[in-house]
Formats: sequence, C-alpha cells, structure tokens
Amino acid sequence: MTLTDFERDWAQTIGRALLPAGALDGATDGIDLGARYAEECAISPWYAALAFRASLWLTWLAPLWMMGRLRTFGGVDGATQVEVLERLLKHRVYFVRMAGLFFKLAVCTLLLGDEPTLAQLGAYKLAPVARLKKTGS
Amino acid sequence: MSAGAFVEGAVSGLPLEEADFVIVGSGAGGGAAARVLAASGARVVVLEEGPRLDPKTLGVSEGASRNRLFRNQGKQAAFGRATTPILQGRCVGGTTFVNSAIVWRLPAKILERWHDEFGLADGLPARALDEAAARVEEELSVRPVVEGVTASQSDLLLRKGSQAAGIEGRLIHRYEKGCRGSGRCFHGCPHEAKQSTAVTSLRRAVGDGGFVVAGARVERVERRGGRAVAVHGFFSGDGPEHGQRFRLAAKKAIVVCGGAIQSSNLLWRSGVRSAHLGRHFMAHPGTAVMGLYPERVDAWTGASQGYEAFGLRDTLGVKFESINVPPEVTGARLPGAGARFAARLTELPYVANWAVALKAEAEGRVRPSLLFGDYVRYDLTRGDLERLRQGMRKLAEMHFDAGAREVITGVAGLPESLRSRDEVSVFDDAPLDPRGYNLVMTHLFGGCRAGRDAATSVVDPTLKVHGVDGLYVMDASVFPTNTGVNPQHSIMSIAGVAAARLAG
Repeated sequence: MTLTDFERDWAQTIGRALLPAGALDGATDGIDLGARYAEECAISPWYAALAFRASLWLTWLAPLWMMGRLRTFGGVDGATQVEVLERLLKHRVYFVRMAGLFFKLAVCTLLLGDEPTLAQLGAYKLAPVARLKKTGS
Repeated sequence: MSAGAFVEGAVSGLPLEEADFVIVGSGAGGGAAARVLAASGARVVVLEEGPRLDPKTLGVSEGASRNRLFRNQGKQAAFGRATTPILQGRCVGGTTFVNSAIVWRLPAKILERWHDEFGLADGLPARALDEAAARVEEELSVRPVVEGVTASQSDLLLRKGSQAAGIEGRLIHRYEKGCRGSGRCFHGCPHEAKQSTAVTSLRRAVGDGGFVVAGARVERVERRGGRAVAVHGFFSGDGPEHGQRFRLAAKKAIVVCGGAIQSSNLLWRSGVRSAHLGRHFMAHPGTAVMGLYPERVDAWTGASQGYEAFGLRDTLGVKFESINVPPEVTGARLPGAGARFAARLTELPYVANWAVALKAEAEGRVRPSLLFGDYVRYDLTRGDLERLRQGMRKLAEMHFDAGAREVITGVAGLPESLRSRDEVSVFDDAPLDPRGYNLVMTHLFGGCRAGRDAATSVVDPTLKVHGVDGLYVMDASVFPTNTGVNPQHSIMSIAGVAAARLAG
C-alpha cells in the first residue's frame, strides 16, 4: 500500500510531535520519518498497512472528532498536538487507543531502531556512528 | 551417502523429484524430525517457506530483522475482543532462530495427563521422551546463563525480587555454544551461538544427505487412495523462480511441522476434515511490567532472557521471565508524548522488563482465510485475566523489592506508574477485559491435537493423521493441553520419538 505525499507529510508531522527534534541529544533529527513510515507501509501485509494508514488519518483528524475543533493535527499548536497524542494513547475506546499505540510503536521502531540512534542510547556496545544517509532507508 | 545441501528454492528449484520423506517446516519439529530421518539413511527434503539468512547480515535494528525473520513481519495477530500480536519465526530454523533458546523438559504431570486422558502412552512413552530430550540437550549444548558473562543486570534483579518473594527460580537453561551476551537473540544471534535448528539438526541432516530448501511454501498435500503422496506449493523467495509452482512426491511419508497455526491450516487446505482440526488452539500470552531502577540496567546486554521464576506455575499458572526486548520496543511502552516522552526515553538504560507468561486456559480456533491467509480467533477467559493481573501485581511487588524506584503498569485505566510498593494493589482493579492489556502471544499449541480416539483428536499417538496414511504432524499443534513451559524442547523430543518410529 503506497502512501500519498501528503500522508508522508502527516507521518512526519505527527511523529515529530510525538518525539520532538532534539530528543536524545538530537540523535534522530536527521531521519526523514515520513519516508521511513511510507516504506514500512509499502512492505507490510495489507491489513498492517491499513492500520498504518488508519492511525495516520485518525490522528490527523483528531482535533476535529476528539476536541470538536475545526482544525487538523497540522493546524493546531505544538502543545495541543502533544495533548492530542496523550489523549489518543489513553483513549477509552480500544481501537483508538491501539491506533495511537501502533503509531507510537512504528515511530519508535523507525527512529530509535537504527544504528546511530542505538549507539547514542549506548545499546549493544555500539561505537558511535555518524548518520551517513539522512533520508529514507 | 552423498552429501545433501541447503538450497534456495527460488534460485535452484528442488533438488529431487521424489524423496522418502518430505518435511514441511524447519523449526523445532522439522529440524528434529529431519535429523533422525536423515540419519536413518532415508532421502529427506525439508521445505521451508522463509529464507535462509546469514545472521551477520541482519544488523542491530529490531524492525529490519523482524521484517525478514518473522511471519508476516511480526504483524500477525489473533482476533477476539482484543487484537493480540502473534510472534512466529519464518526462516530456516523457524522460531528456534528468533527465540531465547529456553530449555524445559515436558513436565511429568503434563505427560501423565496426555497418557491418561488422551491415550498417548504407546506413542510417546516417558522413557523414550526422556532419552530423546537427553540427546537433544547433549547435541544442542544446554547450559544455564552464566553470571558475569551472559546474565544481564535485569536477570540478577529478577532473581533478587523472586528471592524476596519466596518464589522459586533459576538462571535460564538455554541452547547455546559460545554466547557472548550480545542481547540480540530475537534478531537472530549474530554469532550463531544460539543452537537453533539452522546450525544444529538441519546441518546434521544435510551432512547425512538431506536437503533443506528455503523459500518453498507448501500449499497442500496430495492424497491418493487414503494416502498422502506429494506436496504442492510455490517458490516464495526472491529470485527468478519466485511464484513458480512445484510438486514434490514422498515415497514413505510427509511430515508436517509448520507450527500450531500453519500445520492446522495446511491439513485443512489438503482436505483433512475433523471436528477438532484447528480447534483447541492454546498459547502462553504474556505482557511486561517495567521497573525503573536507580542504577543502570542496560537491558541490551546478556542473553535476551536470563532468569525465570517458576514457583507459581502450578498454582497461579504464571511464569515470570526477565526479557530484554530491543530498546525501540521498550521505548514505545514508556508513557507520554512530546517532551515528556523524550524525557522518558533518557531513562531507557534504567529499565528492567519482566514478563508474566500465562498458562492460559483459553482455547481458540485456527482457520485458513482468504483475507488474512491464516485466521486465529482467541479470547482469554475471565479466570485467565484474573490470574494475569495477580501475576502483574506480584511482578510489581518484586520490582520494588529488588530496588525499583518506579514501576510502569502498562494497563489501560490504571495509573501510568507506581512509586512505591504500597501502590501495587491498583492491579486488583485492573480490567477483566483483554483490551486493557498489551499482550503478545508466543508458545502456540494445539489445532491438530493428538489422541487415540479419532472422534476427539486429529492425529493418533504415533502422530499420524487419523485416516490418512503417510501423513504425520510433528510440532506443538499436536499437544493436547497447554504445557505451561517453553515448548521448543518438548517439540524436539516428541518429534525425535515419532520420527525414530517412522524411520523404523
């Protein structure tokens, strides 16, 4: 399943609200999350890809359906974006909560799970690695 | 005996037109069966749907290795009130390639029940199983995690917590040779120290003239006159023959070792019909309780799992295990978003993850599905959920007893974190609803359960499918009950016994 360009942008915006630039001493700042999210979606089984896409739409439109504001996720300020994400992750409706968690798990896998970031975390006794490629895979 | 080989199906096709034994699946059951049958001098071909991978190429990213090593990239799930991820290996070595290599013999009480209630005494006698288990232990180099070498700080903390709680436990016994404590068992051991079937029994089978074909998915078993005679499938790997169909005949028998889900569904697609096929699907669902400690835990060193507390297995039906899941997965379980989440991530080196694995009484159902390929329906019972939350409370107590400064509950509706042992009673109010928990299912059993009576089982005590000659199932799908222990060793033992009988 191929994400559209605007969905990639959404993934980037939402992901960066979840884990802002500068976190972990900036270890993930150079990563094009939107591109990675789209790649993961493209190679996933159809039902998982659907979940990737659904969690994006649900979150992007959350200010509207969750707060009653005529705004998308990209149209609210940073503090409200974080509030939206926090509320999604604790939502009383199971599938909404799972959509939030699914997105968070994907973002963590994509942002934390590459060698330079893991090295920054001190994981697996990895020596510090410069991020050679800043976008995509 | 001429030498066999590991073959990439999509590149090389099949090495033979006809074998004595065709084995479907290369995990614990397939590896053990191949080892015994090839050693008997028979021509053995193992067909594995997934790829054969060099672990050195897998890297450190959990996501990248999961995509290559796990069935449906680790995105397979059971459906019910909650959607629960199911983790199964899909590569040469099967789940033995991606698990923690934990060794437990089949408990004597469980085997007695199998003998008494299901009539398996003739097919799986205790003495033969003991001998098979001992042989596997010798060949796969079983030893406990070594303190100071492969034990992690999380393991030692769990030992401290379980001792404070008076719960019996031990450093985990594992199949490994030369483990360096890289903390990447779930990625596929980078040093091939883990003694998966890919580096043990399958290599021995190849040495005895067997062939292991990677990237060859079996779709159905062909039967003629009540006898299984061949398998049909297609090449599922990368390469010029991808998608091309094949047929491989078996002169003596076809041995299905695809695991609880795939074996059941392969029989179903092959026209085997039994009221019990795909039923009695069981598992050990589990979830983690995270403790944050004042000192560094660095839960990415040591064996991925190094300590287990099993003293409540026969009473509460739970087992506790330290589990060093990759940091990116642990990170996702830390609460919050934005700056709060970023701050939490700096605490990753201080997190110890301990899992409660539940010997669930729930039974689910497996069926082929046009939409999902394999469809699994599964719901925990109320009793399971009560025991799960009691187990989580106990783990929280143990974390505090071991010195944790904070415990992350990970349960919807409960406080995000607890700061003292006095607060652990919140788990008594945890929901009796699986949707409240972040569960993962491993250790899958049933679907083709064994028994003497064809009216209540799918395979007989020799593990032959009732009513079909030359068709056997040798994996955890034949287990008639939940064992409550890690199943790899039991699978290897029963497959070894059944294959030895089949080899004559």
